[in-house]
Amino acid sequence: MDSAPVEYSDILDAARRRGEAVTGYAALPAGLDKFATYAGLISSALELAKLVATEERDLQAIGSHYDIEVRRISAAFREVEMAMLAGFEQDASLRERTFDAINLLIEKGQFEIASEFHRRLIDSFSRPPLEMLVELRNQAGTGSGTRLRVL
Amino acid sequence: MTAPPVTMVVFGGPSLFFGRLDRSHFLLLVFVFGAVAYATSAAGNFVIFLICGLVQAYRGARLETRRGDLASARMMHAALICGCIGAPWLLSLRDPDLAEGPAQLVAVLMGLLLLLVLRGGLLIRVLDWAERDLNKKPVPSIEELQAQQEKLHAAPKQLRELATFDASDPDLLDAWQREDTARIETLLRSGDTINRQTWATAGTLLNDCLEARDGARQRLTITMKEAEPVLRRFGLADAAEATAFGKKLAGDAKVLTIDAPWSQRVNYAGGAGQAIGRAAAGSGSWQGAILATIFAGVMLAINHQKRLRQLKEIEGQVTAMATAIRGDIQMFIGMTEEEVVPQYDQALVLIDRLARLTTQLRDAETVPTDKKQGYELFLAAGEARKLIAE
Repeated sequence: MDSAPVEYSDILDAARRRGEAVTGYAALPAGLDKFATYAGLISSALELAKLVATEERDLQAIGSHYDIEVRRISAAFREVEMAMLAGFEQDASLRERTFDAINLLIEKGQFEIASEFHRRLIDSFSRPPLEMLVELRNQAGTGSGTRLRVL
Repeated sequence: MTAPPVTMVVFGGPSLFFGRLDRSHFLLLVFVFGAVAYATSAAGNFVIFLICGLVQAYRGARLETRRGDLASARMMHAALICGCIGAPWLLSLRDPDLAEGPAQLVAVLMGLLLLLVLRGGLLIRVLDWAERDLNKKPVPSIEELQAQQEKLHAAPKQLRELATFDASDPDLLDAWQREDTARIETLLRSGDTINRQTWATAGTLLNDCLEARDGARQRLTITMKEAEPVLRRFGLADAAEATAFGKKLAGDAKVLTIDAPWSQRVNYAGGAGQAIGRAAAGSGSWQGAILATIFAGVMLAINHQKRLRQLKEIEGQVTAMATAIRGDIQMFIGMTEEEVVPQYDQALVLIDRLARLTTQLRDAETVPTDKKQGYELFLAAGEARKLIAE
């Protein structure tokens, strides 16, 4: 069976003419009736134009938001570190003074007083426990996506 | 006492069904149902009880492999005992005929309970021992501690040398300049990996230091115990109580998803290709092909714009994570330099001092009269006591 190739546009044109005859309204020419496609294209083009126009501003806004966040995290961590070091320093200083005083009492033969003094003061050293430090650290690290925990 | 087949189905069926599920509290049901089925049907339905027992044995064997799940094992054990005690009560509510042989029933259930107590208790003790043995490490000798000292002193330097993600990396800045999203994505992925590796390394270094300090404390505790009899001769006994050993740190990090709208991109490009193909083959309009191509181009440009913003957001997250990790590293450096390493050094000095004083005073044949000598040991023991307690 041999038949001539049928043009797609010819079929469409024929359908338009039949439609015009039935409805009595003029049909739009081919290519102009894809309203949904045109509307989609226009809205996408507008969105693109808006995105291009606000690109620099948006990137700067995102960047500055994280700059602030990074500065906040950095400062909070510094505070935790300083608190930790201050605790160590205080302990070391108290320890040194305590043992100096005790040694002095022993040198002078005041053994019982030295013993009592030692017993009372040895319990007053207060190194920050790891749990407390980790808790402070996790508060400082909020927003960083990281957490520490004590096993 | 009757043995209706319904009892077997009602009690035996669910016990077998639940026995297959991987939940330890279902084991309670297996036992309760098994015990009830046995008691209501006497020896005629011993098979049900046997099957329940096999299921329990199978699960028990599986349980032994889960050494970490001790809390669950204990709960299960307690639940089993409660269940077995509650079984006769439930049974008496259901079947008044049981009053005919209550002594027999109680004997059977008590026997079962005893078996459970023995078996469950033994199993839990075995699990406890196994766990303890797994975690137990030999106390390092003084020579080993001295050999470790150098490694411990090098830890802060190693921590300082660790690198994290740097947003001012010239490659990354150049990629941003050229809006090369693929390159930015690769560099951000690499930055995220560096962050995680660095954090893991820093954690390992700190945990090694903490572990070494714990070893020194344990050796110090042993030395203190040896000093105790000598101190007692001076009337200055000071108990050595070691606490808070074996603490380590672990980190959890949010998983950053750097997902791209690749599928959309492929769909748009594919849609345009198909439209062009159809137009070329005569089965589609050329206007449609042009529209699809323009649409695909616009969507690709939109995706590119959205991608840039998404990548900027991810860069911020990776940078925030890097800042926190740098903060942790600084904290770890402070902890090792100011506390862990000095404590380790001090522990070695105290071990030596305590051992020397203990030997001197122990070797004295008569009761010592020089109180000052005794106080030297007492003070050293006091310092050691503080050092081994956190």
